[in-house]
Amino acid sequence: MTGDLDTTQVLTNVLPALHAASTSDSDLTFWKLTDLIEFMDEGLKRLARKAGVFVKRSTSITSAVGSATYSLPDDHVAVLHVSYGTTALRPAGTIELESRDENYRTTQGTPDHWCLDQLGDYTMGLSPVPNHAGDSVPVIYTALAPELDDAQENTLVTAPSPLKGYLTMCILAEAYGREGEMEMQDLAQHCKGRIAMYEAMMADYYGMGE
Amino acid sequence: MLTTEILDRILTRIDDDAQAPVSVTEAEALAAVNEGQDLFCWLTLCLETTGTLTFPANTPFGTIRDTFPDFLAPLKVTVGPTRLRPATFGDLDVLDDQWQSRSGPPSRYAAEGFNFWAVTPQRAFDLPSSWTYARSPIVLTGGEDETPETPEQYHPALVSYGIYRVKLKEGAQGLARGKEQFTLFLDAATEHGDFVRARSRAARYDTLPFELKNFDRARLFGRQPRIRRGMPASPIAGTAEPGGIAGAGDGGSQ
Repeated sequence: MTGDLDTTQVLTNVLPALHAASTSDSDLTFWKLTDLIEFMDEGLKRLARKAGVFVKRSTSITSAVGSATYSLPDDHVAVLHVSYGTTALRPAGTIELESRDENYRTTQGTPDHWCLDQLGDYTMGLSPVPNHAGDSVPVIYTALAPELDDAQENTLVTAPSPLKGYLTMCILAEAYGREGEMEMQDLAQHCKGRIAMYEAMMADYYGMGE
Repeated sequence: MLTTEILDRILTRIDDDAQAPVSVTEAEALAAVNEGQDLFCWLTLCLETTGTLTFPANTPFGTIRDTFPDFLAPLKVTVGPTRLRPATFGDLDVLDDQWQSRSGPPSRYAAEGFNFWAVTPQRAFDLPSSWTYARSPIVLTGGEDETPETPEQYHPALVSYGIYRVKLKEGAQGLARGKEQFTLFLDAATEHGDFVRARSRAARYDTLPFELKNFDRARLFGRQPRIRRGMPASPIAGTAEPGGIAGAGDGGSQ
């Protein structure tokens, strides 16, 4: 898509800093290409927790009569907004819901609140419990970026080009922080500081991830 | 300053031959300058542009990057002469829990993350809106007569970043030398960020540059307090120590 960041460019640009001429495992010597891809992928997953940079809207959830809980998308990190149809629902905690109705887990009606606590990960509760099936429950959430797989079937991230600097630091911090012949802890620590700076900046611009 | 001049200065200052570099390739130095320019622009939001994004009819949500691939952060959104006020989803819910289906002239927008917008109310027809936004710079290719987009007075900061970045991989003493250059780069970004922040406040922009001075640089430079038996840590904050960077942090433990 236009506006996507191509992570293969990050790999190309980081090679000199790894004293390698190409991304072949023989050239990388102390690392493998899959290591570098995994370092970037782990960096993106950490970034999704630290800053709300990947925001999505899912319309896959629909109401079911008498069903109080619903599964959230697999790639969700934190829920930003929930609607019932086009009506915004209010976030609430268990205590608030219990104070309104101690049978809130079974009382049916048109939902006006959503909650996450005491339900476990990836599960959202609605209160009152829907009394109508098939209504859309759109959710806006901070998400994980699509996984960067070792086979390089996906190499794109929907992010601005300057994020390449962040991914470069993620590679260098892990590559030189790993125990082995090329271990350089001073360099790794500095790169971790650079990562922290990027994350603080993005949390400032785009809000927290979770 | 031309990109080629910046590259020459980087190569010369690391004691290499600008015409036939040995310790680094020109591509490596160019990538370093691009990385520095990207970071400078993101930290300071110094580059801005205005473009048209069309709000589709009866649609409260959409994506940004397919229209503005260089989008970093929103500064101002208008529809005709009307400026839209920035809001969070919480704000929109409090104002009107039916905001997603409310029809009328748009008055508020939300921009979330790298690629998501919401607007309310919506029109029943496609409506062009004008977005002034902070953008990322055009990638430098090293071609003749090419100049970085950052302000000319901060081009030396790109030289500093380039030196830092090509020295980074050496670790130890090379890294220490590079950090001195990175300090100069950060000082320049802080200074220009302050300028852009003041300018943005005057223009009542919706996003202000990151307060770099509030970021603890000790996290970058890893300075630890020097502790001797029976003696407290260095009592003077920011005191330069052998191998340390003057002004690079508060000298505290982080």
